[in-house]
Amino acid sequence: MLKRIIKKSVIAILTIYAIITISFLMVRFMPGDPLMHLVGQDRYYELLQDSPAELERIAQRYGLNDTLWDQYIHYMQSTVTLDFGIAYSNNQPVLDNVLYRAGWTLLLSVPTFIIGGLLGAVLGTIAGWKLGGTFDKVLTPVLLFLNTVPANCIGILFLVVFAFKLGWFPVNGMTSGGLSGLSKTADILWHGALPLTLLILFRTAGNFLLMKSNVSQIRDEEFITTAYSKGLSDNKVLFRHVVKNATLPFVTSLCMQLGGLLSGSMLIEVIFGWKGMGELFYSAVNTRDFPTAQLCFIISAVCIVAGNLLSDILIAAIDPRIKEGKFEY
Amino acid sequence: MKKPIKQTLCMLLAVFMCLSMAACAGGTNNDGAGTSASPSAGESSAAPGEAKHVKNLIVGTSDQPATTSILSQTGSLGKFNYNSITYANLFYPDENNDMQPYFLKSYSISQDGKELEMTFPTTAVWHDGVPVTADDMVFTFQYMRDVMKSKALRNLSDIKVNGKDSITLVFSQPDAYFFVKNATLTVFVLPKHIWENVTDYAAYTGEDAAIGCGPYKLVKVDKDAGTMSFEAVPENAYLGELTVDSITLKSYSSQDSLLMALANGEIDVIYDYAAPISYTLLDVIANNKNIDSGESGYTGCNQVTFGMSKGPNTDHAFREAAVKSLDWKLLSQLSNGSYGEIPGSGILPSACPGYDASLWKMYQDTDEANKILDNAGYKDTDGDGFREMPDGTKFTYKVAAQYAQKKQELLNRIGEVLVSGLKNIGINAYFDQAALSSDEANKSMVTNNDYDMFIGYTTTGVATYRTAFWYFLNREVAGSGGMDWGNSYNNEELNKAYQSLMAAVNNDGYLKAVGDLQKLASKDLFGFAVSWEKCFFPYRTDKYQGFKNYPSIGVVHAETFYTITAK
Repeated sequence: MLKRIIKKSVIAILTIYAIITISFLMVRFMPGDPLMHLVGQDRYYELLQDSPAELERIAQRYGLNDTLWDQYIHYMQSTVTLDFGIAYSNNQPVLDNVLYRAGWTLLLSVPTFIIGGLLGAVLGTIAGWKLGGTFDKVLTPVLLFLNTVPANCIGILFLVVFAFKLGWFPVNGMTSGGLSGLSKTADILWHGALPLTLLILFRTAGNFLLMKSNVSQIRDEEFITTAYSKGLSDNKVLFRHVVKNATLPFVTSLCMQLGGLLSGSMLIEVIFGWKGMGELFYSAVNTRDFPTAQLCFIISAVCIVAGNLLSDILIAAIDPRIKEGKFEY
Repeated sequence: MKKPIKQTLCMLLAVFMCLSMAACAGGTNNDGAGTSASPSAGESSAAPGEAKHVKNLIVGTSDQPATTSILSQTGSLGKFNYNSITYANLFYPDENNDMQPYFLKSYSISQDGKELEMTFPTTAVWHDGVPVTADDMVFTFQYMRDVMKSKALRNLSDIKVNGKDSITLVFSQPDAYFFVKNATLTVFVLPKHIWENVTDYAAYTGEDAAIGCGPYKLVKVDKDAGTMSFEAVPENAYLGELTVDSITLKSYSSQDSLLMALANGEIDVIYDYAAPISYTLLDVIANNKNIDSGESGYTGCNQVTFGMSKGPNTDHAFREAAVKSLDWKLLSQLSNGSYGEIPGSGILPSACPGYDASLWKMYQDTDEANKILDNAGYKDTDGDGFREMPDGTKFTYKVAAQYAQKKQELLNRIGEVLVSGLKNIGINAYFDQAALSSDEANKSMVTNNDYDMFIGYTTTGVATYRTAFWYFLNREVAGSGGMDWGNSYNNEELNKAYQSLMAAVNNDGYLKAVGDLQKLASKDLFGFAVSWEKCFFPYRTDKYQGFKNYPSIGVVHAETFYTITAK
């Protein structure tokens, strides 16, 4: 098993290296002149006309005129030392910007992961175990619907109905400003209620469908019939045999979701003006803020690779077939 | 699928559609401030016998907070500062776009246009308490010329100090009027004690970079809330009494949410520099009696430049036929719906200073266009459905559009309409999207004159002084201001007329040059405006009064903070 973990870890490291290189190339081939975003559009055109030398100086300062190879070497050195440079958008260190935004994203994604995971698992198990029952008939279409309709569509609908029309929630942002302590906490919860609810609904829907599918398949397996023939009760069959086996693919899915904790809610963040990682990535790409876009991309990718690695390790630990080397998962 | 599942899905769809209809229905739930669950917008205060001050004006913007430096034009503060907030502009444009002194008490331009004498107040203070002096004034112009490389000051040869409240700028060329007209947004006094040791002004992020001598001092930045708070500095009230005691600038993620926040009373007014609210969003506030749409004539426009160096465009008759083939009604509606107006042949919209209403307006007449082409010898001799050149050679006609990320869809649609019109009169036209989606392709196409029609746009900032004609100049004409999207039309008459505009030393000279340029555009048809538009900067009317809606600018400008009062 240790050999397997080492092998997977090496593959993960190589993948991350490839991702870092791809991110470097990707942002440099994006259309648009980053200088325009560095100095502002009006100023850019003024300098372009009146003082190209000044523009050149600014480009030099940000290394935009270096050869691609020189930029790559500098970039790799900086990445290793966690020096991701200064954000074009606000002249602040990129790492500071990203860490600040990551905190706000985690405020949405961690509860989503926990609540969505638990709800999806429990509801999916019930629906899968009592397949075709009333609970399944009512819940499956609802969650199938939520899982199918794009997040931005439902997001805008929620925004317009609950924030604008009904006025129950603020239309934008994370807090109203000028508050502190408990009142600020309450205000943040109020601002986060809509995006959080939506994210939990989406996550629950996905997890529900997966768990239901797993449970409903396993309950028809021959070893379940054998378990019943030994005289085990429904509950014992469910928890000892069905849930245990249905958990394997579910754990894989949860690990993948764990990888998306920092990047999985971009659309919702953009719609509700939640200044998290997703929104940062979105605006960095829009404004050609290379250093910020690169770090966002790297973090997202590394999280997903790490999630995959974790999944491999956990599955190997849980599944005796893999643990004993009898089955390559 | 089993029946109960079908029924449930149908019910879900019904609920979804009901929600959608509720979301799309006209009107808002809340047309009064303070009745929503959201925090209510600004409050007011008044002492007996005086105008009721606005205690806190809440301004919404879709720009996001970036830096707080007075020398940055990016982010929400960078744009908001165009209205003289933390810094004090020397001048500001009034309702008629005439330059009025703001920080200055007065100014005068010499007869030869080479000297600009300015007097300024001696009571103004920097936000750190240091008085503003003549030293700061001298430093400002030296810094702008030597460090910031301001074009308007490139011919500044001397700065004379006339006393503690007056200086004179001496130019080697007649640039004084040019300087004043260009100083609208970006020329303001700099504190010498802060910036004298800063050479990389764009990168400077020290806390003191926020210190200016504007009428409002930045007192708080709430990063979590995306807000900036400003408090009035009475010593720096340059246009009279400040009637707004404090301002909160709040950022929103999009114009949709801005409008919703306005309708819900979260904000009092919208300020989005050079980005008026799209007419497609007006339904959000359509039935709200407490909101004025802030409609005004837009000085900017989308425009088309003919590639004039080669092919059929070198023939005036061809250009005339081309413009008469176009569906002008559709073009005018593309970017502005029913508010769009078919443009005149002089290009500049009616909201621009010096607009000439006497010039003919664009119209579609396919028969006339066909006749013009037939008479000029452009005939379909090989029967393939497309006309050939008078000498019988075949040609294709490339329509392209400027790289503009935020306007890609609109420019794309304009391109398709142009191509459709041209095809109707037998011109083998096609829309090349390369420039539209890539800055590099854009530059290459224009540099090589590799287009027949090129769609671009003029922002209000350029329209204010340089005018849309700036974009029609040949970039190789020395001093013309021609840019990477410049025209291939190197015409002496056009160049001369534009140079007259740039060299104007007073309003009369400037307006005459604007008039001459419009007449030339109408006569030569080297390009045309796609449409003339209205713009919208909505604001609430239920709490405050005294807003002045300036064309293309809206109700937030330098005068706003001296004129609005609480009801």
